[in-house]
Amino acid sequence: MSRYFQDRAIGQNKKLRTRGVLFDSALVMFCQEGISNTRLDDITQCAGMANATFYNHFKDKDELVQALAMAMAVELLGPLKGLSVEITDTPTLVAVGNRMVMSAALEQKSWGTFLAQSFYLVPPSYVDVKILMKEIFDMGVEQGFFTVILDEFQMDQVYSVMLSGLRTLDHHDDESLIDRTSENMLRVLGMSPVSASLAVAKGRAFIR
Amino acid sequence: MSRYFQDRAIGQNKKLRTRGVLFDSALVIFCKQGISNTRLEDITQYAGIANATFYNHFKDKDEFVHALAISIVLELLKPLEGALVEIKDAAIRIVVLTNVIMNTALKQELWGTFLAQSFYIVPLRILVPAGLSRHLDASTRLKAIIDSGVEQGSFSIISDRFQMEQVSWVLLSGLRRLGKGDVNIIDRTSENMLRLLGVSSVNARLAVSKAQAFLELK
Repeated sequence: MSRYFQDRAIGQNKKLRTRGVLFDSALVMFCQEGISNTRLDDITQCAGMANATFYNHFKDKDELVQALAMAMAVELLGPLKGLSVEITDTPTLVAVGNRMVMSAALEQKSWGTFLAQSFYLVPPSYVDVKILMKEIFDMGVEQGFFTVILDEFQMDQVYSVMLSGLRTLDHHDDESLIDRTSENMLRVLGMSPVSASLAVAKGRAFIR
Repeated sequence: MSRYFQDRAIGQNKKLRTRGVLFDSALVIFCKQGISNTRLEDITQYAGIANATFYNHFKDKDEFVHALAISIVLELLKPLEGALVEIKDAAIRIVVLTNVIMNTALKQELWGTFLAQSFYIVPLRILVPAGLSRHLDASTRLKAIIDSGVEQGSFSIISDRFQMEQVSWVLLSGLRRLGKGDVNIIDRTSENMLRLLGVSSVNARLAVSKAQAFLELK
């Protein structure tokens, strides 16, 4: 079990530490069984906690899923926020941003699966992520890189490519899938295969 | 409630007829409450069937969701038999495939919602082995078209399972939004699939209009 959320709660108050344990345990179970098939008991058992303790923190499983999704969104957004100042070329920014999110998922096994499952299950938790992504993509349209109509439908199609990449990453420990996902996202945004692969190469150079 | 699966089981044995009732009922409940919030009892109650009867057919909700997903995928693919034989151009074949699948799903308004949900929610670990042979059947067809496009020089991709998965998710995302009032969803999904396969936006649009002409002839 990854101790990601527990580690972040070290030195915090008891309430946050318990939440950390619940988050880490829930991730294990959700990834193994799927969110829908996981019962509360599975999570508390994995966490070594009484069910009553769970209810001190969350009303039910739904509330836990929402809180976890929100916590994950915050973790993923943090490193992205400053990027747009440094990188003005939008396609490169997309490649770098996607690499950051997907590398985090690659490191924390089960994040990808949870993200892919919860993205449509608890959409409100991802509102901030969606707003940020839309802002970035709109900039790409303005700069003339992206040639599509960026309405809700098109955004959804791009998210799907990213989520499919994230989910696959949990099952195949293959780092090269990150850049391929970025390229595919850029293609769906209307870039030619050549320009998309160029932007990804620039992104890789930036990260180095 | 649509009687789609019940109707198909008319004249079949009792086992298939009961499955038909369970499928039709579950679709209504799944799409109303979401797969994860639906309990077995909700389905059996709606179907007017005892819980015990359910367990004669399926081990649990998971197995049931798979069986339903696979049945739907097979129904979606049925009209494809023959439709693609006359077309050589791989890009146009992709557009026709997308049109046939999405138009069939459009007639059964709950299918798209259910299918997309079942794919997002059910973990890959469970989905792949359970539906292996049938799902491969669907994806082999897609793979064959994609490979022929690479050969014709119109697609520029690494043709492996990962790329197929990416293309399938774009199709699923389109299915999920069917019937939500957006116009041109089918064409836009086709175009995005083609872009993903490395076709330029201009050529993707061209393939869509060529396929349109072909579909109108049919």
